[in-house]
Amino acid sequence: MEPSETTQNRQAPFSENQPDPEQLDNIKAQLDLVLLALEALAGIGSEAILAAAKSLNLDSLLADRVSLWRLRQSSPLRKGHGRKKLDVEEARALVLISCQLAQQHQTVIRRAVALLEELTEQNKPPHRAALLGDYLDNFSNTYQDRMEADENSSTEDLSHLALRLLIDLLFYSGPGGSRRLWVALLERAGTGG
Amino acid sequence: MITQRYTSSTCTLEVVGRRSALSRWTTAPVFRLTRFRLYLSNAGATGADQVQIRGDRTQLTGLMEAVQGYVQSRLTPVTTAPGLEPLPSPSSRTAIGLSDLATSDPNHGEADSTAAALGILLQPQGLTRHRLRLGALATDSIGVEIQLSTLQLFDLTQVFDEYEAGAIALPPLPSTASRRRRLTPQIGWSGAIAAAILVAVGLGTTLSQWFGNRQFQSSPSATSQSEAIADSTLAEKTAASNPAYPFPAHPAGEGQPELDDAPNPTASSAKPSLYAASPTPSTTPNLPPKPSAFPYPKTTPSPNLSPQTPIPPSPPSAPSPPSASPTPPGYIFSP
Repeated sequence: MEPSETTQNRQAPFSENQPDPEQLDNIKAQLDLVLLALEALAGIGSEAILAAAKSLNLDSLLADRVSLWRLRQSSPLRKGHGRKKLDVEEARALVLISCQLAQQHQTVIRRAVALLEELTEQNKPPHRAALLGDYLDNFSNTYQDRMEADENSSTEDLSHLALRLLIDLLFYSGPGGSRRLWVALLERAGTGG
Repeated sequence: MITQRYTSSTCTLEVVGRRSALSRWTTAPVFRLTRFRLYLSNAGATGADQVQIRGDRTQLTGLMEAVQGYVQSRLTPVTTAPGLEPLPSPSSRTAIGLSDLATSDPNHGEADSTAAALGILLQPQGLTRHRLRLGALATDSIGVEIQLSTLQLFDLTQVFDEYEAGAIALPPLPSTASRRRRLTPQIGWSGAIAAAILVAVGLGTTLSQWFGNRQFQSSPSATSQSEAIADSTLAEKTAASNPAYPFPAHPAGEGQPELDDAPNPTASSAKPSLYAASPTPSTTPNLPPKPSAFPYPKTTPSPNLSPQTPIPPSPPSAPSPPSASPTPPGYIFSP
């Protein structure tokens, strides 16, 4: 199939129906959180994200640390978030990058989920496992460093969010992961838990 | 009979099929799934080492719908993030043109889905446990429901993803009103052509009798020819495909129930399967399926776009799960 044909066909359903800017902002916030969870669990940093972008031929969208920072800083959750609007191509790029990274780190994600299951089964707090304890600490610390303070959110809320994102990462790490993440972003952005 | 197996850490999906009549329209043989077996490790409510679920292709479709829809519905929504204002929900779907994708979630208002018709349902039990109500798949030995851990659920999605990626999925035969409506334009054309030919043959026969010319009395062969033309037309029109489906990766005989086997009675209220929602049973494996309604707006061609998994494309360098064993190339395997 010719690339031009592929492009044309894939553009067609979106030529008239684009996500509105507010929705893209929410998508951006969620993608930033997915990457934050990956950072907290697997210790990935900007270099790993940029390397994934390059391997996916998406380095035109994410060429360097500055472009990555600007993209992530556009999340409405971020302190002093920038005015940059996320476009659909950038959202798509972040979906692919996030899922590639999740796939690369599937072993540790799976181990963390197995520990969470085990401790939940035993009615023990997740912090009992070093891997989960470190993950939750990293997540909470980074979240509080980067995001606007929210009076209504507690440490417990953040831990719950971190654990849900951990389970999500598992499903994003599979062969259908990027489809799941994309559909979740678009379909469930406003539907609540 | 052909058997395919898809394996992950805690489960194995075994699908058995046979050569389909669709093979006459393809350069590669088409196989149709007749039954499946799913082996789950340590999933029984009684703690049994292995649970075996078995059924036909309609039941597999229902199980896949239930699992994939449930997983999708459990993914963290944006509104979970502290301090983030939720969007109005209608815009999040309709503005993106995802109405077709909504069928992926049988637990959210899709009461006429195959999963719902078969009574297959997943429900959360806390953060990490899930209850699978088996509905039509229940047996005396495994009971009416089983417990799944999150890892087991993930492994289940892995084998289903692999199965979908490797199969050209023919859906269960349609019989609902909505499905009939969807098929009407295709069948209408081919039916009209077949009817016209039959009328012409009948008229010719009548005229031949009228004039006593026995050379015109060849209606049996003419009728079979008209049937062949009708089949051919139907196949061509089906191959042209309905571009409204969101998953072009699995070309299926959406419009070709006549060429398939007899309907399963349990599918009587089934709607078109999400997993079989693609258009081209006559497509050879070497030809990329025709992209259709695709939720990614793509402004530049990307070499990473995979025709088999277009939502979104997987990178060529992305490793496959080592434990999975997808369908070998060269076969078109229709469930």
